Amino acid sequence: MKKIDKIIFGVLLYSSFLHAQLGIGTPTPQETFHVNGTLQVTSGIYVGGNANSKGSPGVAGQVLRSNGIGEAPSWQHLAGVPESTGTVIVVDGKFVVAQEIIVQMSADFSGPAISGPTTPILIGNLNNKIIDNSDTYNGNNNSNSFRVKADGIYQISMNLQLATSSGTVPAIGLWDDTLRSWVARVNDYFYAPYDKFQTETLIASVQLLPSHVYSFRIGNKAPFTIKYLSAGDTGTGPVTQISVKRLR
Amino acid sequence: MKKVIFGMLFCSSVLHAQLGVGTSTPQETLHVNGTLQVTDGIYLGGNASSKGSVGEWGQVLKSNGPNEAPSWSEGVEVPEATGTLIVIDGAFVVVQEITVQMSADFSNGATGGIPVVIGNLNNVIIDNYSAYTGTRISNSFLVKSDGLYQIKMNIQIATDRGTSPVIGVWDNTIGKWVARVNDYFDLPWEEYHTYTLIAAVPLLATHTYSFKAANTSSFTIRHLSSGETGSAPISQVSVKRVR
Repeated sequence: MKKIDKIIFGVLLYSSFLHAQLGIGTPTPQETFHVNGTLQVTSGIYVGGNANSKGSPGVAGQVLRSNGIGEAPSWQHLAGVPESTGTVIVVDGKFVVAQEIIVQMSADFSGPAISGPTTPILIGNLNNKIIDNSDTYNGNNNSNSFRVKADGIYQISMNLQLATSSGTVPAIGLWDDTLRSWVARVNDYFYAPYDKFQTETLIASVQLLPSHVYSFRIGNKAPFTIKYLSAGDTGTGPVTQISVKRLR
Repeated sequence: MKKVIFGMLFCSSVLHAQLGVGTSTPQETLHVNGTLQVTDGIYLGGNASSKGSVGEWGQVLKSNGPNEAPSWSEGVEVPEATGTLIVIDGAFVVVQEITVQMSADFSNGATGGIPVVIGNLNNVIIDNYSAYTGTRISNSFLVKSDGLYQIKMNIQIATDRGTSPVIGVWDNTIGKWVARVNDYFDLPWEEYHTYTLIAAVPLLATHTYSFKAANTSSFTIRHLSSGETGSAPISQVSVKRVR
């Protein structure tokens, strides 16, 4: 090493020693270590620790994320890949899995006639859960209910195959148990003979609140049956399904 | 004195190839006990005599674990296929989805109990894994992986009053319906009724499936809903993985 280099280096190091700051390519380091130019690292970058302890090199696949001023950045799993399974939507600049409930029936459900301002009947046997990615739905042979995790707009889809008396107007929909009123419903005229079937379809988007409890219900002036399967000599398949999915 | 201190430190640095800034006990080749400012690229990889990589715009620093240099890479692995994104086990996956409309009406005679493959289902709106084929007289599809799939069929039908036509998805491998609907038809022949099937069913990658229909009378499935004020597609079928 040339003498002049030694002197320069000495000056730099002296500065470093006294001020605990070192500049490369700058006589005025702004940080503990200031590279006025490029930096090459051929192995791990350890972040965190202190004067006597190692930092973390991360585990494979983690990314370096800033923790703001005055904190070391840290290796973290990709911020934003949600944990639960389901459709990804973006809300406020973040990836979230939309809350989604899809339920089919485990058996036919029959109920009696009701009339007047009576509370509609809870649909039973809605307990074949296809998806319930926030784990908020409960269904058994005579009841069902769910909550939403976030205040938002939710798409309600109900497709129910019914048998009831010709000339009646069965109402199906989503009931707010907290307010005791419908939040979504459909009431098509039923014209098929009693032993034949007709499907009522409801597709609507409504605001749902996390502080309320909701349930799927039906009301008709004649006894009714909601079909679990469409069946024939050539095979059967599920025919009734309800779903709730967050849109925004 | 300065030179001596410097000499000692420098000597240590040269011998052990370690340098501490703000610490006398460096734990790594370079140990900054404090902050680091870099005014230009951070090059990663390479070796004592070759350059590393500075990354491309938008890439993030991803750890490769201990004893490996981190590397610049895409923050989120973006799947290649087009379609709805779902998350399964912490990874983004594009779900298989098939959506098809008709290119013309499809009419067929009475089938009795034996369903017929719906023809003219060949206006492919989306088929992101190229698994569907449809022609004037036939259709079939495969799923890429075993899973639960949401079937939606919205089919406008004209047929004889008093019949119960069946539409649905047929498993060609076992010769049975896997999803179907059979509403009662109670309209005059020249009027239309829309059949809606929404059901989630397990489908298998080893089977072949088709959209089929059956009725005890002849029937027509409508391509367009038309009137004096215009016309638009009316019948649509879709299959989409839910999990």
